[in-house]
Amino acid sequence: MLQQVKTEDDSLAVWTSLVRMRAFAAAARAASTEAFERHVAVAELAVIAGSMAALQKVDGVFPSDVDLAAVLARGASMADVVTRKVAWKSLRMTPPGWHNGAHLVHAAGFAWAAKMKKDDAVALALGPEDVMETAEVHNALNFAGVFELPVVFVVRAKPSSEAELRARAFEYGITVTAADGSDVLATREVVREARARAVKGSGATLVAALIGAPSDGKSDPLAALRKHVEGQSSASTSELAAALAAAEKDAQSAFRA
Amino acid sequence: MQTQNMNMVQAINDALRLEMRRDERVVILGEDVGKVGGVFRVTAGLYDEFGDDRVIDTPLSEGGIIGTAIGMALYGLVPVPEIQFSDFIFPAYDQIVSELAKLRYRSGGEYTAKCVIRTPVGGGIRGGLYHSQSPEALFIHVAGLKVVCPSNPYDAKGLLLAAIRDPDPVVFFEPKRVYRAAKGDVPEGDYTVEIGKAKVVREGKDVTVLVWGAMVYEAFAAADEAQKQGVDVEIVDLVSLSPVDIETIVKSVKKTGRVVVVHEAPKTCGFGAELVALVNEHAFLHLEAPPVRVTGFDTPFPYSLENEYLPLAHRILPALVETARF
Repeated sequence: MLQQVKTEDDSLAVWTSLVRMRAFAAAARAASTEAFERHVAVAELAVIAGSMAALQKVDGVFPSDVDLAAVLARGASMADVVTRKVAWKSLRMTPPGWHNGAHLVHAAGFAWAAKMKKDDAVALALGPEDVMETAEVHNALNFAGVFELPVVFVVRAKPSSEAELRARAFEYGITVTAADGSDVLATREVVREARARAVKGSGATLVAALIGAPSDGKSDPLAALRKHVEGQSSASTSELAAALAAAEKDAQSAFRA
Repeated sequence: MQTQNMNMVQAINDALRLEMRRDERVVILGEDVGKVGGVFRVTAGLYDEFGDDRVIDTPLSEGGIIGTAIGMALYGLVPVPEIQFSDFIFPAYDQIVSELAKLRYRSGGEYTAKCVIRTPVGGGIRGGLYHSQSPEALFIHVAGLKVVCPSNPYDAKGLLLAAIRDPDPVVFFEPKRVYRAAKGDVPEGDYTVEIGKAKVVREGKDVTVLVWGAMVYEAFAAADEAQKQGVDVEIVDLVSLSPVDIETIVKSVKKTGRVVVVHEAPKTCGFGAELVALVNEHAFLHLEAPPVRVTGFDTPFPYSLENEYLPLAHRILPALVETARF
């Protein structure tokens, strides 16, 4: 049965992106493919999906070693990810790094180049909370702060870590904002604002995307997003189910191949 | 092409200026490279001509310098970061080895990361243990990097231009002992010196010396003395350490049957060890004497005993004569 549209927005695309990431992660787990399984932090996919949805095509994406799924949001096929045939350069993305934190500095350099060229491009660096414990985070935040670089660092963190993240960003002279990491669209909005500041020349932002423990009783981000989509989008329930099935089929066939 | 007499500092500066004028993607970044013009003045005047967008004074953070250079390269710029002394390169070692050197492989050939890391190397200023080291072997060992070390102004300019135009990362070691001491005629315009090619800079028939950088001049001085004792020395200036020109090396060793390797770095696991292994693999049956290494010692680089530590002519000479008479 078709559900009627209230207002059109792009939340359907964001939902589809998250669905595909989840399906990929589930298939990786089912296949016990450690090489991929460890690269996908399932509980944090909502933050990745929200952050990626805030970007423009000209922006660069620098994922940590557990953020492989972000490449799906850039349009890579699951089969290409599994067979390592991703066209990273044309997607303006780097392959996930293994040395935690090193990619944060690359993001700063990419943003620096965009600023030199006076392009309206920003760099997005993703990472779990432990990137903030690396030595490289100092280099990244230091350069980003000193040169007011158009870079957005999105760090998934426990709510209890917010104060520390705020203090550290303050020390480096960069803006810090918090987002509800379990709310995909809220995360997207916060990253969008950070992106807009960066393009305007106001420098870097550290986004603390706050996520709770899996057992914290919060609703599943995907379910919450679906509820929003059903209320806002023209997509029918059957179309959403079809998208879900397609994602699962893609994921299974990617790993089977 | 008209030439101008230059020292190595001037020749490198000339190469940077020429390439920055030719290619607006080229940017320089490092500690004091801008307004000051570098501690050795290699980048003098470039800040005034190209501005602070392309000649950038950075924080004292080698990992940050190389890490951001990688990001710039990913965007399509051609960064030429300077590490003020190669002794300071180690905070950036992870970025160079784990990131820069592996980007092409890790991205399935999507990214090549054009980047030339310039850094002064070796002794010569009595700088002791933190301003005199020769860490070239640590980079030659890393797949994905090219490593070069010119000995004279002509090669320095042409090799740097070739390095900046190379699609892959290059570590460009500059022998500071001869930064100003080495002078020569340098073409004013554009030319390149091929990476991967060694040069026979002195022909001889009795012993081959494999050497690079500042020690080339010490090899010449020793060869002149050896000649007085009837030993005719051939000197091969490697110029490019990775890839190394095995063809030229083997051709020379097959001619002389004897080889002496000279380098400033400590002996153990220095590049001399690899060169001797290559000679053994490719020319063992042509050898008339065991290969010999004349090197720095397996100690930290000393302050007061620099001339004892370095493999200067007075240490090279006996090795040449003994090898020739083995």
